[in-house]
Amino acid sequence: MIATTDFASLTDDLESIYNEVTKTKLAKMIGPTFFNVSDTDRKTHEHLILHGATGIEDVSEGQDFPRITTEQGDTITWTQRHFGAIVPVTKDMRKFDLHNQIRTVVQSITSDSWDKLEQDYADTFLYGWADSFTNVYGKSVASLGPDGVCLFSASHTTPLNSDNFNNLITGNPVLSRAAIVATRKAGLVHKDPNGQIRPIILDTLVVSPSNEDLAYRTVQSELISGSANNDINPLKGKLKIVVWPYLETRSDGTDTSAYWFMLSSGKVKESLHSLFAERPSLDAPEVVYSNKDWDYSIDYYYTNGIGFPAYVFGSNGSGS
Amino acid sequence: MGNIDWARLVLQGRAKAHGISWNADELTARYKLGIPADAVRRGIITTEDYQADLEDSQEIIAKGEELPLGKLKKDELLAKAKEVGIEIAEPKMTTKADLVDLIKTKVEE
Repeated sequence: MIATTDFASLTDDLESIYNEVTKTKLAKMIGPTFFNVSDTDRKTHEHLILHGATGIEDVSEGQDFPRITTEQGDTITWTQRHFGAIVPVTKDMRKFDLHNQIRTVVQSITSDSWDKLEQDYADTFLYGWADSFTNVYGKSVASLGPDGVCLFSASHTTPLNSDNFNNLITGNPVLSRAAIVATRKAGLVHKDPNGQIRPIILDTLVVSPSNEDLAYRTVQSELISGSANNDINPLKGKLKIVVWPYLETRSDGTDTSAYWFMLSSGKVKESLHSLFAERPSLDAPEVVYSNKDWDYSIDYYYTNGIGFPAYVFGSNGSGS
Repeated sequence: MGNIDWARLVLQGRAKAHGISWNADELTARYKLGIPADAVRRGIITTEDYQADLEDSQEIIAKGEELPLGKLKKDELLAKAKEVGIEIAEPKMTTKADLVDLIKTKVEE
């Protein structure tokens, strides 16, 4: 029997289980490598996009240096949401020393929290063609970026001028060498809202497990598959491939295995943000009674948001 | 995931209305065909329809008649609003769609 006198040691045990599962999950998570994961104290965070500073000029002898100008872009506010669940250690579990059940409950709910976070990150990509979607927690959320269009659009705009930029892989093609080459070029000739060429080096290809084989054959082969033997594969070494299991199926069950993405590893965190007011943690109940369930809890506050979307490109493979 | 500054986007012609983005056809009309936001908001999404709309407006003006509210420019709508007794505290923040609605309601009263 686990008595009230055992509460402290049980709590230590549960925290160890929680930490062990968390460590394993975090090591495998891919979403946080693409999102700017940071902490905040604010319930509502206003994100302002500043476009590249300009102002370097030819300076004559004795002339004052010109002041640079930074162009203000769009703003968007992200509001924290609270997520949590009770991790019950029931009276039966304690009375009959059901340690295995206790361990399983803690492991399962801890896994659930990290799995949901990871799916939420993946859904940001997978719902990048929609104005809103029902997230993995069952709530409807808007999925537009600060410029009022979807994450992936051929017509992103800025307040500065009517020129627009495209981060939709043209034609939503299935994964292919030609589409990768064309998208890399689109990134390299990108112009900022000031009209200055600011190359975006799309160095990461993100695919579902269904596209893993094709991705490696397309990008990593020494020679171009299906071509004459002396035709080298210029993509080799230029792209890192990330196989993200959570891209295979969206949280609503839709098969999204054909979706694929290209991003700039150095800049993608300007496009995708994840702000935590509280990171996930396991908390012990404040009061315990010998004749009742002990309700531990896991909870966290966070929000995901889209910033300046130019550093990630996407295709849903639909061909349209 | 976030709250967008819709007022700004609408005023800049980068969104259809508060909370409503341009759809794919409307985006094409706005940025590929260069049709003004006000016309696209009235459902004009092809160059032909836009030309026909311009000709229609010219005909109305040539006949000495008043253009329908939807075809008026914002400063003309602001003047019209003042004329019918609507006070606008901050003209910059008022959208054409709001002005059209308010004037219509006021006139019908």
